Amino acid sequence: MTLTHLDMVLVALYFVLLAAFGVMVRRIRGFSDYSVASRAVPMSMVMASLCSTYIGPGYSLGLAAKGFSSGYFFLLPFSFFSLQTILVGLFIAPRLHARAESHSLGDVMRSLYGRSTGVLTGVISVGLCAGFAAVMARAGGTVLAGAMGWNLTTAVAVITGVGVLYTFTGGLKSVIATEALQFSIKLLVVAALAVLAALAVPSFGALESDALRSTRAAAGAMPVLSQAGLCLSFFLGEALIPPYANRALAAASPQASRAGFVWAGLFSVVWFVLILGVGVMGTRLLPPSTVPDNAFVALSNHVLPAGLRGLLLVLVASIVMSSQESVLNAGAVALTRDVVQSFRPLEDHAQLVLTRATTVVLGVVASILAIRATSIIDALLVCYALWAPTVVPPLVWGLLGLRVNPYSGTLSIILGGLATIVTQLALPGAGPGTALFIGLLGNAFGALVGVVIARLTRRET
Amino acid sequence: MILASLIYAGAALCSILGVWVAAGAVSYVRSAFFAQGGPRHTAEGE
Repeated sequence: MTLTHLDMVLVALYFVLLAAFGVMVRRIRGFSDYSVASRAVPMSMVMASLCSTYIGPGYSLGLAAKGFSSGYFFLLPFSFFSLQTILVGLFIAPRLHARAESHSLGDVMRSLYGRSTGVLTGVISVGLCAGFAAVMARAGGTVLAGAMGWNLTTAVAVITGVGVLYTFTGGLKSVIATEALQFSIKLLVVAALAVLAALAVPSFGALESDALRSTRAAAGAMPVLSQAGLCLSFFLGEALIPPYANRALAAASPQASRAGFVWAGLFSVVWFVLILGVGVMGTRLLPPSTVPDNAFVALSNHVLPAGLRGLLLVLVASIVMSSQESVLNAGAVALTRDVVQSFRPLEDHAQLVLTRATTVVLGVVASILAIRATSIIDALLVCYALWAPTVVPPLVWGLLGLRVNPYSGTLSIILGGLATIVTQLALPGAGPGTALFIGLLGNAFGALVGVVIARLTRRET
Repeated sequence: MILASLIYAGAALCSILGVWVAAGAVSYVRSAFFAQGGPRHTAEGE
């Protein structure tokens, strides 16, 4: 990508604005300020930060690639993410917010099931966040290196360094303020891109026929069971992961928590339709040899006038950084509250110092992994696959008030995780959602065993 | 022309929401900034 002076000014302006937003809200009075923004985040900011976090590379560049290769086929599985977010808003987020003493999901799980369940939740949270941060560092670093002509190390250091800087100084308050700014940028730039691409399409009638054909071909190529597995993965895969759940805890009221999630879920449908549309339009505007994964960037380069291509770089940086800073903050809070605090109670100030230090360490580790050890990133991303079949069911049942006992919480996490890992190892080529489905069965079995043990123990005593 | 309508409508909605969120973000930062004591405290840091 060739950048003009105007492009460079746009990129510089973006980083200055970001730093200003992050630094203006930097004063932190205590751990609660840092971890849950003093539980004073208004609905609009809950919604904006949630949207900004889920619109990472997968839900933007990746989704456009799906539109380019499969028409609107992926709208159905992605809609299950929307449904999940709305349901979480209606039934779970207000209940999470009601746990006023909690700073993390590990805190919530500890209050429901006891210490060991809280620690397990914390360990999985930290692994998930570290893996996610490393993936974002690599994705953003690669794009920035390509655009600016830097080496990967410098690009990763810049992308991660800026995020670490304001996450370190202002905690969740800075993260939410900058995420809202980044969400606004994403919306405005993507809207401009979509309109420019639509104006360049020669005939929408032919494009619709092509899109319909691609959608039918993709649906016909995937067995119904695999489609169901895909929908299940989108429904549960990212449900209540720490950076999302933290927004429910940080909201100013149960109503803000509920409405923030519901509006974020509803908006995601609009976003998916628009981004898939961008990918679909790429089939008419780009050469057929275009690699689907490059479709979004290639289309942007095609329709954006010279002098405004810096907008694309700003957009990609926003997409990467908003997801990365959220996981850095959530991972650091989880390590302090769910792991360290469980074994060695700390004063409020000590928790704040440790969480800030962990934010920096996580950023450095994520950068090193992004540059040198992609195989370790893969290992950490196992935590991502483990999240839904381990933590989500006991968290949801517990919050909905179903009878719980400490054995059920711990055993459901352990057996759910084991079932998922064994399935992934034994059936590496299994369809989407298979490991998740079997993991959920393992989780349910663990909960059942926990109930039996609890009854037997009660009878004996 | 359903696709064209969807794309233009989606883009219009995103533009409106983008401006609304930007205004909300400025308001959030301003209130957080003044709640912490304004420029004096920010300059002093912690």
